[in-house]
Amino acid sequence: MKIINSHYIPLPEPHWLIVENNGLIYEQLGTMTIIKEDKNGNFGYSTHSHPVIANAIADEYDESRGDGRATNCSLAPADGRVLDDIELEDCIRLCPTNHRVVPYLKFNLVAMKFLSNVGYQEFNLEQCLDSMRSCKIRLDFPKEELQEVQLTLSGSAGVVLIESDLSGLYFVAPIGKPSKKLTVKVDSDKILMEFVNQARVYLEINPKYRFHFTTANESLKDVVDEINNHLEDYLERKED
Amino acid sequence: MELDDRFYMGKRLVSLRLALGLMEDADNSLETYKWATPALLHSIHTKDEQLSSYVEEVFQQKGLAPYKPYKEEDEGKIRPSAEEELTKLVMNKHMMWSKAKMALEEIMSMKDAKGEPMFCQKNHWWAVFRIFVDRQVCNIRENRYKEFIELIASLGLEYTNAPLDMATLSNITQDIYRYPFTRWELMIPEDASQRWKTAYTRIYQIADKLNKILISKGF
Repeated sequence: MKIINSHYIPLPEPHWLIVENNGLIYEQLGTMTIIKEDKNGNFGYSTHSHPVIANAIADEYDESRGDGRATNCSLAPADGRVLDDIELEDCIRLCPTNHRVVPYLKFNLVAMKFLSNVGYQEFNLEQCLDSMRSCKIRLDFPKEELQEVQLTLSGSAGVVLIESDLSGLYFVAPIGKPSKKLTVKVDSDKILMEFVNQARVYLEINPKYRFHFTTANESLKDVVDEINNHLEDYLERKED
Repeated sequence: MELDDRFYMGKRLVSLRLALGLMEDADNSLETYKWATPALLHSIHTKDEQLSSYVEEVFQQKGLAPYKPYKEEDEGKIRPSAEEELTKLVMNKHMMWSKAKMALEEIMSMKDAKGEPMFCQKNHWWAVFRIFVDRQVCNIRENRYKEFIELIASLGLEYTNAPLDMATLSNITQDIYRYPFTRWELMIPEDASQRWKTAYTRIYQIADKLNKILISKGF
């Protein structure tokens, strides 16, 4: 495969923050497009576009400065790196660098993408939150104290998941892999413990949240009842 | 070193001293710095005591210091803040780990009334796991037993009084130790046997002690 041509397209300021597959956040300075010959040497070509990035960790981020550039980048390499193993299709645009606010719907999308890429065993909602905090991104979460969460069954990569719909706060837990008879045994205790972990993350954002779970799926009713009855036993709210 | 080389070195030294003799009376302090610091470095490199003592004398006569004096106040200004930030972060992680290790060593050396170690059974790890989750030590969370075992293994303790295995640790969900530490007293079953209660008091004491140690260490 020969490279036919490559272009660098600089983007106008203010730049945007993007999230890549593994939940890392960068500032996108521009895109590098590469046009290659077809794999088999036939007539035709394929294009790839890679982000050119700068570090987004804002140690001394100051909104009054306006340009939103990080003044002190400590952990990442220098600006202008080309992410050659990541294409633009794998990235989500988060927010502009000078107005760092992310609504909860977008946070849910990032969490879902992270889950589908990393796998449910290594999934960690806290990590999503931490990476956003390190870039001084403010999360715009719903203000009502009582949060209704609707649970459904879903599946990805041969694993059955119990998952909330995207209109509210995002909860997810693995149920397991289906057996040879294509049935799944539901372990409500494990689901409860996963939800405890995630509820604690949301309580860090707003310590006044209360959660109520509902479902339209009748086979999940026992699980939902158990979560509703016992979730409060594990949560400790920090009083102001 | 061969003879020719020695001769060459000697020749250079003589020429240097001649140069020193000529420039000894330079008025400007900057000029003295210009010739004296390389001379001093050369004397250190060749271990020439005569030359070094001579240069130091010149420095004393002119009232100059050969190096920029070290001040504690300047330290933050000289070092770039990014590097400082990085070392602070790395130090923070290592400090957390060493603090957790010190706390565990203290727990292992606890003694009961008879003078025997307090921590002696496999299920006493439940207390450690519970407090680590409650205090959020090293990002340990509910249901993540594998991460906990890996963390304890990587802390590098000198000895443990009881082995730590997955089967015993994951049985924590069978008892009241699955709840946060502050809820334990409320959750004691009414029909608990005497044997259960003695086991409970022992685990409670270990957890209470570890909790206090971790709070005092800033977790």
